[in-house]
Amino acid sequence: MTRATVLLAFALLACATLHLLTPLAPLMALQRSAPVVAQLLLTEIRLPRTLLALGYGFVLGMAGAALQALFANPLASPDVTGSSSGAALGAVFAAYWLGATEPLILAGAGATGAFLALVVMVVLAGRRAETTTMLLAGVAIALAAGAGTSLLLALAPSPFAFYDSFEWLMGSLIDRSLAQAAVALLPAAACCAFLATRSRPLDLMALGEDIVASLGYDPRKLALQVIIASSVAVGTCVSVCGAIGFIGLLAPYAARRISGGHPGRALLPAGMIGGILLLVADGAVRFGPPGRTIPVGILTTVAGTPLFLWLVVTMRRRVTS
Amino acid sequence: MTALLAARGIVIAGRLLPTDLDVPAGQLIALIGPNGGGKTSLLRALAGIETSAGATMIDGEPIEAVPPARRAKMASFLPASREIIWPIRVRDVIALGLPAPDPGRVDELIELLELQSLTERPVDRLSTGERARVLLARALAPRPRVLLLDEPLSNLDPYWVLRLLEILRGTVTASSSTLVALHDIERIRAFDRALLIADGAIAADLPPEEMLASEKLAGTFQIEKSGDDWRVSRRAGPRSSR
Repeated sequence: MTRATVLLAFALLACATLHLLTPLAPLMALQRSAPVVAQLLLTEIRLPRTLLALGYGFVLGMAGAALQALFANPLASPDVTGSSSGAALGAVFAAYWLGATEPLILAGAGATGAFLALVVMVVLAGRRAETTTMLLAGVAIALAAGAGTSLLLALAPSPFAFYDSFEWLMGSLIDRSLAQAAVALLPAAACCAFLATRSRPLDLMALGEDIVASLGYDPRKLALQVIIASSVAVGTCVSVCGAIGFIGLLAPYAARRISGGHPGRALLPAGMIGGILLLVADGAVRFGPPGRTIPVGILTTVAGTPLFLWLVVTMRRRVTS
Repeated sequence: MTALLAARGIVIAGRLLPTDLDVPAGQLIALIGPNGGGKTSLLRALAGIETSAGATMIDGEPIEAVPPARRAKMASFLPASREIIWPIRVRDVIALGLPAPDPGRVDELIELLELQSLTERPVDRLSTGERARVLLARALAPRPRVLLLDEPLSNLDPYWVLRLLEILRGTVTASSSTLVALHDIERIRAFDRALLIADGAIAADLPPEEMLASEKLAGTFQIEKSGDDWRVSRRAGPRSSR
């Protein structure tokens, strides 16, 4: 477990470095002709994108692992529970209806939207919901939040709202400033650090809420802590980059292979795997057709769908066997 | 003699009426009673999982105030549910019961519950009876002062029912006691003391032989002795249900 974690950390660092320096040729050319511009390209253009890919991916992996551990459900994740869609709705409402432009306010609105979506999901499905009940509640919330977002954009005072929001809501890391990255990632980092401290009770959640309670942890408090921390982390990232699917679902699944099936111990590896996945996906986006940008959220969804379907099939096999 | 466990006025709204209970060290106690009568609620209240009022003390310390680091050694609870969905190895599930790693203790429990052939298997792929033994091993792992077991004998084959009764006897020491909810009333003969739980209260607290002969037991379950066996009492009307 520890050796795998160290290896993952190295892989994450390597991916981040590659992401930051690729493509290297224009950077080197600029370094020779205009070193100041090269510096700016690196710190103002590339660094925020790398930090966001690493940080947002980490958040998705870790929040996904925490939600899966809490709900004892391998299909819970920020996207499947409707939390990401709720964050997008909150951010769109603040941006186009309240006229907020301050990144911090957008981040707060995103976090609130994500939190409300999770609360509605828990109220609809219950904390120990069967997988199908949770999926249905999550799908309903994601559909409602998606429709609400479209409606808010269609009726927004600004006629350009739809156009503006395309790249943002589809999940893109391009052209974000360092300040925007900080607004998304600083609260997210604090939330991830907090979630990491809940690893032991989340491991015990595997044995059921009663055992968690009998060992001196309050399961209701734990649920609230996990829901708030994952909402804030996911919500602030969504408010800056839009919703990115499937990483929050698949990274924890891979991480549990490393943690010996322990849902709580999977938190940290899930974060690192999430970071690696988003760095790789965002790197791959650069190889799209010239002159067109494919939002990275589309790529993760396209690549993640077959894996998700495979997960559903293996789960079905387990249930019927 | 001061009690190992002392419950004073513990209540769970709607399920357990105000209840007092004293358990000295060295007792193996059976909890019997009709479905929905409150056995599980009493065990959960004693474990400090849920109470609306009152307190359970172990060694004079209110259980709910004990921090996680010391809690496992004071009281351990085994729920009736055997569900566990994560593919955790059997050995690791047992280790979850320990406040600090102790591979020697895990090996002991693997031997005690005859799990040697299953140690590397993921727990979600075991049969219900096998999983029951793994989860019991988890509960026994920290050698708690008070063991609270909800229906550990269900889902087990006859060998394991008898073997488990021996193991439960072995958990009782000069400084610890074990409380066990069960359904097979004849099995209470293997215990030191029997509590009859009905309608959210302790209806009787007797030595097992006296309990089996008591009118209270027959009346509560609406069954009666017929030779060596039991049969449904013909006098009774429909059983009260809460």
